[in-house]
Amino acid sequence: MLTLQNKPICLFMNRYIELLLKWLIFLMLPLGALAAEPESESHRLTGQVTDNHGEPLPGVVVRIKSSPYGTATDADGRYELTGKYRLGAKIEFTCVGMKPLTFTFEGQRVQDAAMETDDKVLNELIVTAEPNINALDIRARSGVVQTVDMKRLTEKPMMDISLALQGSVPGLIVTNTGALGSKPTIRIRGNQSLRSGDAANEPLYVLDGKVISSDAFAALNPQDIKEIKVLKDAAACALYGIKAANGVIEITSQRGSHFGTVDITYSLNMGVTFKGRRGVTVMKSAEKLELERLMKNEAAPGYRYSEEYIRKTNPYAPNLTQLIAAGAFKLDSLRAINTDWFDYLMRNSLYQSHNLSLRGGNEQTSYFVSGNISSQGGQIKGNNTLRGNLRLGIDQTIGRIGYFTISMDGSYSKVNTPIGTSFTPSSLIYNLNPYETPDEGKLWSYPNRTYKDLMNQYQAHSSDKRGGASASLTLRPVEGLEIAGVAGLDYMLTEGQQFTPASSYSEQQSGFSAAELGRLNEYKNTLMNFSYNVRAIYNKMFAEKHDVTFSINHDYYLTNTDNQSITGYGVGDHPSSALINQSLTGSRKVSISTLKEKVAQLGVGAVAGYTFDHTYDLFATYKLDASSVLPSDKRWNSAWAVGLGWTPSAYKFLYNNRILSRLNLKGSYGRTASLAGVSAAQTIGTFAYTEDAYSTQRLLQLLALYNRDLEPEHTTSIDAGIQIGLLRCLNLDFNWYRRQTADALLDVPIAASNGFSMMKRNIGTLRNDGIELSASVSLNDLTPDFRFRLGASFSYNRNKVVDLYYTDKLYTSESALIPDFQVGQAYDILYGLKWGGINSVTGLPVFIGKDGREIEPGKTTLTRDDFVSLGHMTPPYSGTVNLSVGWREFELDADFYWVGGGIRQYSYSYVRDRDSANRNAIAGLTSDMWFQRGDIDKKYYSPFYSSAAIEALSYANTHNTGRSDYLRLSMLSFRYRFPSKLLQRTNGIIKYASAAIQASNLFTITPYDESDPETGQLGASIQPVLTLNLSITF
Amino acid sequence: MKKLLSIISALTLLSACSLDIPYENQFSDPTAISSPQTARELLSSAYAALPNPEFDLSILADDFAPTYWAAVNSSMQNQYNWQPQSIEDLSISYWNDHYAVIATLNALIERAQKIEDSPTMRRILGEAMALKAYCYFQLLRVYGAGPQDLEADAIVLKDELAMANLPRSSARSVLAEIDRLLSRALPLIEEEPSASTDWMSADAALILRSQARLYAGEYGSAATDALAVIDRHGYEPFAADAYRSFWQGDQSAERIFALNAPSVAQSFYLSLVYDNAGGDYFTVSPSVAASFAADDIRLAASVFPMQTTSLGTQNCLGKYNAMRKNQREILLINKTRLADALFAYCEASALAGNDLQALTAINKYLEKRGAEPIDDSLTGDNLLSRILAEKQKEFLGEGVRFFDLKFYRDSVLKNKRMEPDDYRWLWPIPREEYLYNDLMTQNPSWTKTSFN
Repeated sequence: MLTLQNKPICLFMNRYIELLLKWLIFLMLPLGALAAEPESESHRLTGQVTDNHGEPLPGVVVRIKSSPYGTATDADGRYELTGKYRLGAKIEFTCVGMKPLTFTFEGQRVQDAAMETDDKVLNELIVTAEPNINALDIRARSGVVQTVDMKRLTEKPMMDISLALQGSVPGLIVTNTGALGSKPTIRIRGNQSLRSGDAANEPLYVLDGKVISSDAFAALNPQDIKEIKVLKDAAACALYGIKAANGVIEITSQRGSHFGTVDITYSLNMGVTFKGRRGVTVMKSAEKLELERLMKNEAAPGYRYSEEYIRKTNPYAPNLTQLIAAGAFKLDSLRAINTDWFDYLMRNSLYQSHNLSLRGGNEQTSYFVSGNISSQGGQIKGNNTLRGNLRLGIDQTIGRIGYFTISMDGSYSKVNTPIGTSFTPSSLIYNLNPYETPDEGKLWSYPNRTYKDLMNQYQAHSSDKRGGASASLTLRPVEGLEIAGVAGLDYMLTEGQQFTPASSYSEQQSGFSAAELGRLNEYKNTLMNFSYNVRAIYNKMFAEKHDVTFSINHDYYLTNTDNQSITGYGVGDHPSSALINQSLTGSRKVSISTLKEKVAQLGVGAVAGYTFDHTYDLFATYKLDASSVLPSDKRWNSAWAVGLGWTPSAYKFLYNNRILSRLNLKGSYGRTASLAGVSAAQTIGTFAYTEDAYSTQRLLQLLALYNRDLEPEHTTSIDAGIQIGLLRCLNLDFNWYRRQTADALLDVPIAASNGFSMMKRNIGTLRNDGIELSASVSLNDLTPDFRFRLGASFSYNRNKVVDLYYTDKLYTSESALIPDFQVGQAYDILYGLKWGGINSVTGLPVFIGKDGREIEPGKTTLTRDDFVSLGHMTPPYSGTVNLSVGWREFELDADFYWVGGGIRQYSYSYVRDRDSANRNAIAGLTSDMWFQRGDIDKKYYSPFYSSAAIEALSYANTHNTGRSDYLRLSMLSFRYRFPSKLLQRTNGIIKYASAAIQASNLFTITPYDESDPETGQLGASIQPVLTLNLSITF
Repeated sequence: MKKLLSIISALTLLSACSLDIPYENQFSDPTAISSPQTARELLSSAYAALPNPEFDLSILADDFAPTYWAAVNSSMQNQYNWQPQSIEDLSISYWNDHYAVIATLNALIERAQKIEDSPTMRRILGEAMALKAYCYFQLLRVYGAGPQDLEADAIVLKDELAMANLPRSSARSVLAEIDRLLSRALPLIEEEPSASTDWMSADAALILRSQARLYAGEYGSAATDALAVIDRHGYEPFAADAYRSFWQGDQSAERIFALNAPSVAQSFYLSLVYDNAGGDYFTVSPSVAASFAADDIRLAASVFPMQTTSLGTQNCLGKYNAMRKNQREILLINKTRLADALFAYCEASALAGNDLQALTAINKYLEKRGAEPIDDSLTGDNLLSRILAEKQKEFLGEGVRFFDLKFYRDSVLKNKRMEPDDYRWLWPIPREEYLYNDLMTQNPSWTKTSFN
């Protein structure tokens, strides 16, 4: 790409031009002083320069015409111009690729400027390398391409970049799924498949033009990224073909600079991570012992040492009084112990991140090198992550006809998890009793075990080693024609180990001999992605009004999976695969499993774009893709899109209008096929060997009942959007979309006489529609030292099953009472019973069924009509509020993120029944639970029934669900930039320096009573991090 | 420019031919099943997946008497008492597992026809068809009404491997299909004989056809098929040596066809055992145990007297159970044996009214087994019920009796445990079938629920 966006150029130039200018000013100062007219007096002028979208422009040269005074804007587009100049002087703003602006100085203290793109000039200017050849400008004129604010992203002290994306762009929904190191789910505009899971719904990740896996994306260092674009609609995504059916996340790495200088930047984040939100409050010893007495379970001390129990079991004992006294003494001593297991098991930990980068180059060659090392401790002991990254980017021009770029990076990351097979440390918080201690004695909550038997029972760690390289070549052999190619390779090796030592309780109790104890699983998974893309683009401007672009491309994508895993026993207490006892037979025999899979996609595409007089845009793209997982007759599938754009603000009469600075309308329509998550076995007879044998033969098994008629999912998207800029300070962006997926795929049950119970079929049509709105207001001219920007976004998504081909209700299990999918209904609705209180006689809940009939659990047979919709399991609403306030050298940024409209069932794992009375319970249970006839207005039903025994109790109801809405302070940064006057004292060694307090996810406010509203897990909430940041550029 | 063009064309060539990527551990059509070896391996997976309902069927029959342990185990108790829920549960795996094997066989039959013709390939195809007939017959005997009504709906006939919702065919059409499959299979199998009992042999196919023809009421041809097998082997294999080695799991002329899937056989009949010291859930029915003559070699094989810790000496089942108790590894699950041919012949002859032929054959067999011969004055139903009593002793605990009780329930075998007109003789079509197959009917009196 030769015709490039203006902003990046300015970014590169900013520091250098500023420096250059300072030199010029310095040299010219004596001349200027001589030339200064007597009436000139000293002025100080400040302001912010933006482009016509309101985005700040760095590197803009601001100077007073015919005077020596000049400066350049900083990264936020701000400038400060001090000097002696007279009233009526011309203030000139110039920037590469922008039409120059001139204002008259009339004594104002603030002068902002909004600059317009100058297309004519651009073509003749410096080439800035763009490694991703698909990042065509024309698609953004009618498609939805939104940019992540990288400044805010890097201000969040979080190691996981995918989690840090939460709230960055409306409609990009990131959901945390558990403890530190677990992979979040990322969806663009909802699930567009009825199939759940990443394979069918994950967006495509493209780094510098090469396709990478979502795991590789998660291992990137946010500081190495220049730009992240989120492609949402068909017009934007269709260039990538069917791979992009779920949207695209385009990542561009940091590049070098063209100004002949070298910048070295070191930044450091050090801080603490916090325990997070305490889900439910559990009982103190006194209440717990009382609860045990009420539940009458002799496995719990509260009852076993009670007078009631002692009298019952020893009615005729002569020393009854002594026994009772001994019991009371025991209870008293237990009551005196109050262990706070949340406090004990959860911990504050450390966060640190060091980042060193080197940026330099000249007009021919530029380079960027960086290294990073970060670590973060989890909430639970033993849970932590560590990551190191290295990156190199080189851009080289090839004479006057083009350039090539090379990007290389590698990373190492490691996650340690202490989560065991039988229980998780976080669940212990709710199970261990307050009268138990970690130091001594057998536990009541885990009979026959001490606390030590629970800990160090299991360990797991996994590490990712990633390496990638990509190169692109862009040539302009003749005017208007550009030929470009990019190829990249990304390799990821995941190694891991899961170990249960021989000394662990579960192994000791397993009943195997000493030579068979100790389980070890080791795995090595490799994933290789190779992709290349070749594109030819022809762009021509006719009669200064008709801007025409044609492009064709060809791409190829190969992914190769090679996994190996070994599980063996008899390793004792040493996690070494060399110690696996290979003489064992039976269920403890050593087992090996492997997976090898190679999938390739090949595509050809064409793009046409036309713009008339900067006002009307037309865009069309067609892509044909073939995939190797499909039989040759189904292999080719297409994705196409058309887009329209209209920019009334480009009309003459609106040009440079002070009130309406920008107005743009756009719409797109497209269709794409998707085969995500489909494998050969589902479309064609596919066989594999099993580990078993018959007679002298291996077994070759038919893997699935294949569906010869299987069609890809066909998604139709319509998108309409409007952008409005008002008064140069208010920006509004509104988008509406509808995505309809026909031929939606799902594994559905089929008649057993077919020999298989499930088959992948095209079962229906679903629809996602929604709106996305973002607005921002910037106020910079109130006073010269004060800056303010407030942004907010809102997104709403709703889904609906529009049609089911074979039925109007689809059940995926024989025993289901409620259909999983129903025509006309959303597919994420949680159905449940209406709570009618607790029967004061039986202690069991009463539900209100159809037509107000009373349902008594265990007595009344439930029907579908007794269930009501309780709400959406996926929250349909989400939004952000971003605030930036600046005063002189101080800067405050805060991001809030909220979701709403969702519902979640409580786990109630801390509500005890009689059988589990030996484990701790939620505080207040003693008074909230029904214990005997006549108890009224209770919250929890009788502990003398088990929910497993009575069907109606296992369903969600209006009582055991809660709204999963939450508001989170996802980022807070308070920065101080050291003033340049101060830095000058370092003799120019330090160019920029700043210090900040930065925090991520400091608090979450939610009406959800239990645990974490986002993950739904007790004790696995997103971790608050508070750090100190120091950033120095040499 | 030249350089550029060459780079582009090189890249294009690199990818142009590379979409036919085979999986490394998966094999897809059309090349997956393309040789006799891969065809045999696919067929092997069908053999290995054959269900083994022998134990469950024996509990439903009158071979066993429950011990104290069965009385305190509600699921054993329920099954023994033919509790409807218990039968519904058994029916699910019985139906599903047989149709899973049929699906694999259909996959093989469709592909085998495209592989280059050879005697080996023809044999594989023959075995596949015979095994499919075996599955159909097993299903028919459980879900069909029996010889009483051959026109009633029985089971689904699956001609191809493809998702389809098919109606049930009548027992008569199922029997015709079984006959057709076996008659096509026989010459193919005979062309390349094998000494191994791991595979469906011509004898096994003949015995199966004889049993199916008997079921269809074609007694003459049933007797002919069975006799062909007996004539080939003679009566000598019925003697003590072959019989003893048969129940020790060694090679034996008695064995016609047995599953050789050790991983499955490991747990065969394990559910009978309550505890290694405490005994079994069921013992041999006292009346059957008492009916053996002292010198009958079948007694030693079928009844295993065991000293238990709490229940005293018990007449536990012998056979597989004895192998397990004697620490002999169970490797083979017998599906067809020579005695099947003998009894098919005797029953068919007796039913056809050829009492003398039946009597001669059964007495020659009984003599070899060391049992008392049948009084040659017996005729008609009396003779038939004596033959069936001997059959119960021969196949004690092998699941055969259930089918006989059902087959003769309103003629010669008046069952003490279940009335002949009880609806449970016909097992219910499982939910997994009728919920998704609109054409599926349910057997009388069983529930057919639907989604709301």
